[in-house]
Amino acid sequence: MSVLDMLKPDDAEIRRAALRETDPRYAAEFEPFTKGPFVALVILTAVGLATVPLTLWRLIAKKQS
Amino acid sequence: MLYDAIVIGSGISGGMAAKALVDAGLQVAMVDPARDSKLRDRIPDKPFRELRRTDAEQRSYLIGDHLEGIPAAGVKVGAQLTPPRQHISRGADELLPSQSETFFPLLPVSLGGLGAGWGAACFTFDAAELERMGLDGADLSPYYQKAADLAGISADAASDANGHLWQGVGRHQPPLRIDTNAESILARHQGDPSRLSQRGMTLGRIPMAILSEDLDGIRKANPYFDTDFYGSVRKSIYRPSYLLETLPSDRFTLLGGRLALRFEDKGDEVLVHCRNIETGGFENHRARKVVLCAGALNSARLALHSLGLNGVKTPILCNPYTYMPTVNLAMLGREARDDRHSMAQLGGVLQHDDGDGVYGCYQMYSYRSLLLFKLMKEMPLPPALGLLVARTLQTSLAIFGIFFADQQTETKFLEVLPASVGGMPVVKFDYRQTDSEMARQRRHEDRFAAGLRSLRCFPIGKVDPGKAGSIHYAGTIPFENPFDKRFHANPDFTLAGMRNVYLGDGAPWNFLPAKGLSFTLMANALRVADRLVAAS
Repeated sequence: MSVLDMLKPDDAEIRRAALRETDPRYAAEFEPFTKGPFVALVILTAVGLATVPLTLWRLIAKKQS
Repeated sequence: MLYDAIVIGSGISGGMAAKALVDAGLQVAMVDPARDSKLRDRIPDKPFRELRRTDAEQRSYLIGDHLEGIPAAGVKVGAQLTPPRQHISRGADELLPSQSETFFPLLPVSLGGLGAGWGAACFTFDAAELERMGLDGADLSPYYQKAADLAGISADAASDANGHLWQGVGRHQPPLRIDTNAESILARHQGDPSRLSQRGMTLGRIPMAILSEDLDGIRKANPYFDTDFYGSVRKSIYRPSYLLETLPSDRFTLLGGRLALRFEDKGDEVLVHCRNIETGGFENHRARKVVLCAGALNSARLALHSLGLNGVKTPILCNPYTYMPTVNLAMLGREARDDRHSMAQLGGVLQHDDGDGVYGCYQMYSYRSLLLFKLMKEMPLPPALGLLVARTLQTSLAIFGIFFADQQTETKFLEVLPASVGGMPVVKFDYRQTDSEMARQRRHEDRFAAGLRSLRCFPIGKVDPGKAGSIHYAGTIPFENPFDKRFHANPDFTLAGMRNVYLGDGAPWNFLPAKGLSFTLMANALRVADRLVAAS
């Protein structure tokens, strides 16, 4: 298992997401982003960059818990 | 009552066999564990996106009343079944007991068997493949057309994929429309077909048992609502139960809620010993002939037990299966049309690297009406970021699932154990690919991934759902059995040692081609039924 696998959402988080996704009041939160390939690449790049500090933060948080 | 024939199993093979036998004027009964003949579809007849935005009841059919659609572990066999389809194998662990550390098949106990949840892709096997399986291709050929007429097939007569996948079936419905994602991939391929052909690959629309036009008063054209994973949308996708519903009650009896345990060939009749699942009581049913269509794994269990061959090993064939989620760059960040069917949009083959025949067969799905939380679960990201990525990638996700051919080896087998549960013998499975098989598969997966990249579909992972993950099982009572010469199928499809028991499913096949087997199972069952009628 890679270090990244340790960061996958736990079952409770996934359950919360599933319940929210199947509630029509929140349907808009799960619509696809279709603002074009440039915006998509910006989002993916930003997420990639944000992953580094988030990974460290979650690893530390998991160890402390 | 003494029936002319009892069909054991209601799946892809059993449905066709029963239809042919009834049409020939025989009195037919079907023994099947299914207790309820009706699927209880709860999804409204509306487009998926509209339901997502408006239906307060959507949770019941999207993830289930008990949230059973939220996976607790990684991807495994049967993961593609949504809650409305999970009844297919519910209770199977008790009714069809098995042991294994290497092979975890999906064993059905519902009406229609695995056909109640199949993917609907239809392919014909070529002469070389049929010969290797032990089947007479010339004899089988007309039954492909008959199966197409009964199931209702939509196909593109001009598809680039037809050369290896669809031959000799001239009568079918017009092709289904494909979705935006598939259109962009197909356009890229058609711009320069050599990208794939130089890698031994083909790509095109594939024949599907999904109606593009109304078939009769009962089954209607697919409305492109994208709800096919969650319900029997206007019955547009063929399910064996639809065929059974058309059989006349004066000639066809469904003995539902009965688990066939074993059979005895008395010479002039066959006794089928069953357990009534409701009452727990045992009962016998009599017929002049029996057609075993319990699915290859269970047909072998019943046949071995009936012949008293507990402890005898027999082969298993099962297509190794891998799928690769890819990002189709042409669709990244772009809008996709809502109207689509949910099943495979495109498909093709991967030839052997020595150019000799087909080694892999693949299908392409878009990730549209499956829910995003399942994607988030697989991402090594906090939920908020996982959702962001899932929403960004959703319209561009193209999932390619590839099946590989399988052959007999001494490392893939099943045997019946002395133990039993409720009279049903426990079966033990062991399925291990040899090192050379795994190396060959990896080599072809790499070539396949390169082909996908040439289409600008970039793999972001490779998923192995387990060694039974294809849900394609065959070859357990083969014409030529390398483990034990006593246990085999005769050339006339009867079980060796029991001349009144016919093998109507894929159990007799010596080899399993890469292409999906369901359509050939249908055609073969029609042929076996004709053989039985001729011998009656």
